[in-house]
Amino acid sequence: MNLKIRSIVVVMVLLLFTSGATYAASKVAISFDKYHGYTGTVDYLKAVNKAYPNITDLVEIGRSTQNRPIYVLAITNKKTGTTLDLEKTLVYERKLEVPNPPKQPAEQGKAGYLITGCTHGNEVTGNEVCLYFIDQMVSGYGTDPFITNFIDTKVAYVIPAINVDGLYNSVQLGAPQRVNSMNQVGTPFRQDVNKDGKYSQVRYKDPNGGYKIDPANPLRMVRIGRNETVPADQRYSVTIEALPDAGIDLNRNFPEAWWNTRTLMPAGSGDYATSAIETQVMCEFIVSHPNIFMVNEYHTQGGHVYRPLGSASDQSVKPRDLAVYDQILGKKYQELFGAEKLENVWKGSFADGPYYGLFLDWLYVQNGIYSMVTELWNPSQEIPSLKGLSGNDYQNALINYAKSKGMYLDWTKAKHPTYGDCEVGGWVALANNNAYPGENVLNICERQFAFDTYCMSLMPEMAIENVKVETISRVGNTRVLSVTADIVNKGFLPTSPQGTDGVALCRGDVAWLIGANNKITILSSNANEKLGNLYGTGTIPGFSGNNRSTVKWTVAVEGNEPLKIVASSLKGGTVVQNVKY
Amino acid sequence: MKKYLLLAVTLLLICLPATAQPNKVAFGDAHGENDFVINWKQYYTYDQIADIMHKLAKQYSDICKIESIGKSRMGRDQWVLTITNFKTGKDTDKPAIWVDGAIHGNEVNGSMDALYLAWYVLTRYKYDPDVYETVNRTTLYILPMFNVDANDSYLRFPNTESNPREPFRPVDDDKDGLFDEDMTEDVDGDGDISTMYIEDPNGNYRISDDGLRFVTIPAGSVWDGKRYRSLGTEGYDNDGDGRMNDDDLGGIDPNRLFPFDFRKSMGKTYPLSEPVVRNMWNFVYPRKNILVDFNYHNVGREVMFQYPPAAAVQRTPNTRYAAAPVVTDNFTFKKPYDVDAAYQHDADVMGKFVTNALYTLKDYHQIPANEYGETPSSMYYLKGVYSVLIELYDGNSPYADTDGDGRVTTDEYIRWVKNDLGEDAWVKPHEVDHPQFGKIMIGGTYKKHIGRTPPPRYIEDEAYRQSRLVFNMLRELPKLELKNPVVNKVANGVYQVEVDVVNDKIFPTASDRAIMMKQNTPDVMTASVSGGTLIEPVSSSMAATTTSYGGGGITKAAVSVGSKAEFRTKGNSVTTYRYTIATSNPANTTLTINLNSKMGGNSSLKVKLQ
Repeated sequence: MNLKIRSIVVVMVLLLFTSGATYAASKVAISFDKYHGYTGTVDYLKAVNKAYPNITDLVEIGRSTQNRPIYVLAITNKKTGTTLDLEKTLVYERKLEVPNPPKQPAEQGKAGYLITGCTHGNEVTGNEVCLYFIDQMVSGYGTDPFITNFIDTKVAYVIPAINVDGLYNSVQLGAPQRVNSMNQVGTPFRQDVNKDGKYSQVRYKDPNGGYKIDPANPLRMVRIGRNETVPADQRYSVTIEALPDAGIDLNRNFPEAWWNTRTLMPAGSGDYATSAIETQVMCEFIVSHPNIFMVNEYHTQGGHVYRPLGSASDQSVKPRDLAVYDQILGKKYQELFGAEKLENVWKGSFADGPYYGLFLDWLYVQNGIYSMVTELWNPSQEIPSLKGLSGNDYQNALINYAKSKGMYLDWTKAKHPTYGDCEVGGWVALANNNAYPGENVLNICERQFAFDTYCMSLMPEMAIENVKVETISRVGNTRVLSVTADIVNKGFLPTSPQGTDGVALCRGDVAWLIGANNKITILSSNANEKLGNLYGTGTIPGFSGNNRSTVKWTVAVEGNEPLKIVASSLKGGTVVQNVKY
Repeated sequence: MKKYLLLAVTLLLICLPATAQPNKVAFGDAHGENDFVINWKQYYTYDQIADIMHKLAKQYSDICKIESIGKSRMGRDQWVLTITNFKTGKDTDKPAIWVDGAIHGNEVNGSMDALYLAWYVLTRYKYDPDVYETVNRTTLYILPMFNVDANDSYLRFPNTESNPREPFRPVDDDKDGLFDEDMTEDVDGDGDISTMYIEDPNGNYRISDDGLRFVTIPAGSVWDGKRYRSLGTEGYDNDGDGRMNDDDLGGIDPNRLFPFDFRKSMGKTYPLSEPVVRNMWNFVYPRKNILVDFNYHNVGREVMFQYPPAAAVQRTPNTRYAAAPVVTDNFTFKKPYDVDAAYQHDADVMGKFVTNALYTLKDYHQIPANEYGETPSSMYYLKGVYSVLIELYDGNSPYADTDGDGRVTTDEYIRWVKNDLGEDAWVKPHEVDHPQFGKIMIGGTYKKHIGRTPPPRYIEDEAYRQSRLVFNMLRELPKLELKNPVVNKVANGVYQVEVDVVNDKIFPTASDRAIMMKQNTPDVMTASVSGGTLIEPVSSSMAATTTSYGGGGITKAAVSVGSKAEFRTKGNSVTTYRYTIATSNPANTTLTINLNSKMGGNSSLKVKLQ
């Protein structure tokens, strides 16, 4: 989309909002003129699930330190899909007290795309992007052909907030909180000091303070330079009205490269990898949803995407995956931004690292999932009036813009319970690292939805083609048949990243010939054929492969017993086709 | 130099037990075994062990309590016994040993040994002064059944000796898209899992002359009798894929789930992903009083010790990845590599620990533990706990090895079965109608509790040695004493008092690693002076210095301290501390020292200057 068309769309979206209208097709109204926070998110998820019971499932996947539910909304047609478990009847079930495990639900037979928000509680733009995604998906079902087909054949998972305590404190209590609430409650006080209904900054005179009022812009507080002499009565300390809980950075608590293997000391956050309950909840969700093919984690800020790895250089990323990341996904992202260079909007996380214990790395290395971290919001990219500015000019223009959006306040006198006489104003909570509600948030949501749907359009898709049956012999009621078929991946990307080598819980694609156990006998050695991971239809620069594999069975069948072929890929979905003979 | 001898010393052990002294019994008499009678010649199921533990906790309620540390995937409680004299202080205020058994479901001799340990210590407490003194000042945490679902299943259902090993998270072992669908089954319903054979004119097995087993027919030799082909372990091809028993219960090894350096090649899921492992870790991790850890596994008769981090430069050839260190005698500790200098004390302690273990266990051998994912590595690297994984028993059972060559042949097994165990221990070949294969033969193997867990009659033999090992180490937990006060006059009106903090036990009050990971509880020594002034040291350094006094005489190296000092006391150590006191009236001046060590006990000392 070129810039002109894009800005027209933005204007149209804005018009819709200013006139108070919502999307015509959506049964659940949503607006982005203020942050939803935790309670707004939960209300919205419940309303969507209620309005769209046939294509959504709302599941509590665990609880936070402060016992708040963490939700995933699964968006998929609940009437479609199958798994091998559901198709295959075992010859013998276990007769022990320990029964066979429950059958995998149909959802596990669909390739999954996951987006997450608010691993850091104060990065609320990501939470809004998730809600926008949900709105577009559910309202597009039945009208938009791509979305309809996706929901019928695949599954989108949305976890709008992982660090739910951090999000609650950030928005509902006005205390921006990046970390989880590891120590449960660490809050000396939390209040709206000047009772203006907003949580912003507090400045008070302090002979040892590190700030002064910018002589050129009395709205702005600037740090006092190390060698600068400022009279004691012009020195300020700056804090915020509401203070967050103490905790740990969840995105350094995942079990990949958490240890510094050289010093044998911790490199990530927390006492040990997965020491935070929210990390455990996410790990369990990922491990129990091996059908997830790709993950986009939403963070702020920077206006770029980090792809793996954060803990090591690109030499540790499989070359085919690097090509997919940089030359397919990254290229699209660059195009959406109209960025001159790829590295302006797309890079390996290690370039700004190293980072240890990242969710990003754990997903890619230990789960074989294409993972990305999208760092939303960069004012210089998003606000036209800042273009070409730098230094003080940039800061002052940013403050002026934020002020026009109600995200930067004049300083007003107040009484602080701890610091006494003070002034309240400056940055409104969350405004220093988030897109401002309204136009800025919507711009980002719209662009990210375009990128997410592009990623979703590349996902693998299993199919069974060219089924042929030959009768080899017929004695009485029993026929010996030769069955051949092509197992095909019709999706753009291979059914698995190259990086799944050695990932214990991943498997290759498999095809089964299935019939009633007492009526058919497989004469060729195996009832199932293991195919490795099928390549896709798309071109990955520098690589090639086969997206089609022919399978063959010889089988003795009594009477006209029905036969079927099931093709199952862990991350590419499971399909079934009856064999006619 | 004028030296004033000590005039009066009062030594006071604050943690003296409040209960009665132990009963006096002759060495040859029973030491409490008759107070709580258990038959140790059988394996107990989950319910039975839980019941015994509850009864022990009830009968010995002064020194034992039972609690559930959480529930398994299938809802079973994991029971832990805490053994200490609760009247002498809380369990968490004393140095402790953690013992767990059977994290691998099938390794249930570990459960029996851990249960035996509890029984041994509890029943002996009132009869054995050694046990009495030790239980009064230390804590023992025992989790006999770690992987409770699999422990229970292994004992109550027909299983091979190697299954089930893992907790029951479904895993697609054979990567065919189905989960846990194809495990072994007791086809003939005789309660045992044996091996299946089918008659086949081209088969290369026959039934042995004694009729007990299947033996191979050497290639080229003539055999006119029935020939058989092996179908593998007893079971069905449950999913009809043409392969037998290729996807059994579970698949996440719980002993690869501990958080230290968790990585792709080891863990499969994520650290502590199984409830049984997470419950244990949530109990153990916050308890900073745990100094030593034992994990019971089988098999191999091995003491697998967790050694500290290696030095960057190795002078000793690194045998870390060699099969087993070559030892000239069985007992001398063979260090696998040079350790980082910051961990030298840990290395010394581990060496003594291993040697002691080998002397107690006798026919075991030493081997460095594996690193990431296993219990000992996280115990040591995250908590600084001295950790040893014991591989119990041996597939080459010493009881069966008649020629003593370290291996047990089938002939030796058969002889052992016939002479020692009785033929009840053997599955004789017998004909069975298999629903998939028709008429087949099953048998020719020994039963469960021979290859990996000892036959029931030998349980106590191992359990006793293991209990003595844990108890011996419990006895070696730190015990600090203030000793040997010496008063020196260094100038007119200035005196120095030197006093020794003595720990004659192997273990320190904190390991090097615990201090590094801030998991230690420091020893605190406070002092006050009446009749004079205690002079605080100029430097807060806890390094020992040697000073010479006015006359040029040299005293021993000592650490200068003041009104409050915090430190760690090493194992087998004597540390001298020096107090400086100014007084014009030495005859009426007294220094009072209080040593409060959660890990080493409390003691105090009063020193009069003249």
